[in-house]
Amino acid sequence: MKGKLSIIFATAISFFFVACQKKQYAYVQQGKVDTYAYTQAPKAKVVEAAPTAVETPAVASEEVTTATIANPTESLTASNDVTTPQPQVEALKYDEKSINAEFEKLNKLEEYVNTNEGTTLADVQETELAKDLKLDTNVTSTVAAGDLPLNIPAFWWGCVLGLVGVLVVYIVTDQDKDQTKKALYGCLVWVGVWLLWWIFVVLIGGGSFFF
Amino acid sequence: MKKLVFLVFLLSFQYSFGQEFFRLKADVSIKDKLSTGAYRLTVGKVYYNKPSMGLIYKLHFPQAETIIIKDTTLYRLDKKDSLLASQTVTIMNEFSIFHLALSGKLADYGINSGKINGVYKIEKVEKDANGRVITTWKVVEKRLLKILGKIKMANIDKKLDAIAFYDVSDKLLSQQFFKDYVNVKGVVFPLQVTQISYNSDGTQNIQQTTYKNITIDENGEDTIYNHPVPLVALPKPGTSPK
Repeated sequence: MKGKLSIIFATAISFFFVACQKKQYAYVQQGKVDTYAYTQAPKAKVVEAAPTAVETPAVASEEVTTATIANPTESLTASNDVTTPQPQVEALKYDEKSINAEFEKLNKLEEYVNTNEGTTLADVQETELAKDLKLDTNVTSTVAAGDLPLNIPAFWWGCVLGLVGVLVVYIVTDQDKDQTKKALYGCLVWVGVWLLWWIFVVLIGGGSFFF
Repeated sequence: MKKLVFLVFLLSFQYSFGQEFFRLKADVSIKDKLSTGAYRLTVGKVYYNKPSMGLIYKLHFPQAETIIIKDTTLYRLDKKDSLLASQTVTIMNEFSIFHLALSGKLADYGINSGKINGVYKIEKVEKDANGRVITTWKVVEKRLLKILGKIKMANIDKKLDAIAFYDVSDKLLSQQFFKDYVNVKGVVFPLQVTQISYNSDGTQNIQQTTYKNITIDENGEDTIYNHPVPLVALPKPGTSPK
């Protein structure tokens, strides 16, 4: 009986937390909830007005910076960026020089293979053309580069859909270990981000929402 | 009766001017630079047969082999057409560059037709500093709102110049660039396609595909265009026939 009660209690607690999280998320999306950065804003003003000897200028400036964040959602996005860094790339802009530089080493081999039809890797493997190249011969991955559903990389399948995404990747890639591992990393990152979000936003920033 | 005549007129108009292409062949060279620092080079010929939606690669580098992609299955055959391996893929040949080019739908990446018709809707159309038309497509299909992000396209003279795929939080996932278009028998096709996929750790994979000697609606080589799909699948390790 005690065992059943504890299970029911744990389930109820879980439902409560999930419900709270959904509600909190909706409020955050609407900008109605004070996030960590947002709640620090008034304190920053206090610091500006009467700085104490303990607080260093660096801390004060950090607080001032957080105070300027108008939309709390922006700070959430920023914290996600720290977790999963993205390259600063301008979309739709073709950087020909940079692309050509990436393939500089491979171009000679390509030229030779194209002018000598029938050349196989075995023919050039020991030559200068392929000597310094770290050549991968997984042809399947090349022609099926977009083989993941909707052209979305494995990592994001795991990151967005969690374990379901990992399972999707595992099935559609015919148990490709590398792809499944990427999806798993994505899933773990998602769990990490979720935990951070929970700790920072719900427990610290949104404390006033619950209490 | 008048409506019927009008309909017949419309259909005949479409059939008169909307020429249907059914085959494409090209020499293909695919270069990959992986985030690990490794390279891949894949060279051979590609054949696409639109009626059967069969995509066949006859490769000679890195080794002589045939790859058939049909009905979400990829088959690898050796020089003697013996099955080396097969695997399930989710490539939809209907959305391959070959099918889109033969259907005249490459300009919008086929995003507004076929199976994904209704998934995306134009959100914004603008012009950039280079005079390119930039179209932003947003997901409108409710079930996919949490999975798919927006798509941005750049077009020059009604030709697709670049396309960028985003995730739901507007992070860039991958982009493709289509350069050096040629018109072969009325089929507009880019001779160079560059795809860049961005990984979460800031690294990227680059694939550049170059096409040469494009042939449209070739008669002959039927045995390659309609290459039979191997009937017997390889037994999986550890299993024995019953």
